[in-house]
Amino acid sequence: MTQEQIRETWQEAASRFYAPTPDEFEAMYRRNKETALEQLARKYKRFSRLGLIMGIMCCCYMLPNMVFPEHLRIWITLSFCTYFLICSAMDYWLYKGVSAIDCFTMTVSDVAEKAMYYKRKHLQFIAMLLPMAFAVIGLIIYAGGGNKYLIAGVLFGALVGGCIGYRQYLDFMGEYKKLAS
Amino acid sequence: MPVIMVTEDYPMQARIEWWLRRVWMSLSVAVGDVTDRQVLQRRFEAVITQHSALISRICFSYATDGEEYKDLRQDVLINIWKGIATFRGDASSLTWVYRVTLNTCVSTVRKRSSRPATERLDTMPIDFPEEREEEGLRERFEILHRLISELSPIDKAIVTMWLDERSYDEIAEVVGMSKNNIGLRLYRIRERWRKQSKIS
Repeated sequence: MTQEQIRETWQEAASRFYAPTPDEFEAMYRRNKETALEQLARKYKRFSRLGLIMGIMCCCYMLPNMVFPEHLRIWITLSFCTYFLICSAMDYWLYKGVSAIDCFTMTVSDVAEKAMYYKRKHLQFIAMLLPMAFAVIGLIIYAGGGNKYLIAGVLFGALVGGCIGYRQYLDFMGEYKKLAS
Repeated sequence: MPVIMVTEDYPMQARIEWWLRRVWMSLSVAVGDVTDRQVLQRRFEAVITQHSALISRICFSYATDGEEYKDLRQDVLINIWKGIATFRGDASSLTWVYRVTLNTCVSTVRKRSSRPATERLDTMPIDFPEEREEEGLRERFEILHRLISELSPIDKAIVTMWLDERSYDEIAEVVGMSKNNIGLRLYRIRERWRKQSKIS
């Protein structure tokens, strides 16, 4: 296919797509729809709040919890709290960054650069938080000592979470390789 | 589904028509005939009707299958609808639509489909009339889609504007690069395509 043919095909494509129908316009006016980017920003915001709530809840629940030995209680609480607050801070940073992408005034190269940058950071944050999560779970199992119900609960939760997380991790890493290249 | 075919020409006549429509809407508001929201709706529909083909082709370039094409086009329409109130017409509507459409497509990074290109094209809402099938229209569309889909998001933006016969100045303004850089990138893309066509 020569360049002239490529151009001709491109021009030909102009009349081959369906234009929006009046129904589509009406549906758009009725509902306050969000773009994928806005949905992503909202997701980050939600997770940021959730992380904050989880951090506070860990403080309230774990510190007075008698299941764990007294000398480890403060460390478990601190590690859980730190973990969730870091998650919350990272998500808030991503939310701020993604929200700052302005499709109306920014140039295409700026938007592409920012989109890639935040995508990459998102994946790097996951890679950073994953070992931290394992460390926190390990600490709970260690602190649980002989409490087999606690260990069983933690292991079951970790197994289910791990399976879901592993699938997500593979997807993310696949995309990260593409971005890095 | 009713089919509205839209031709894509941006001559002076289209610009005059655009401005006349805006004057007409302003007069309608002044005499209390329509509300502000109706004005926005009419302005939005006018922009979309005028640039529908452009939006579709850009979404076609960035999408990997019909589902993604629909999502992208939907996102573009939402963004244009949200931005139409703030669009003052300082820049031409064409440049503005290019900017919003390309930025929407570039900022939406989705999971890539692993299906082959031909299968992906089948899911795109493209009208292939039977009489044109003999001319290999579908095959040419597949090759075009494959050639563009191999490019980076910024190169896709440059190529789509270049295929639309936009000047280097316009491309540089929307993409945010120098004219020399645009020229260099286009040269590399064309060379790549030339080599590919030799190999095939």
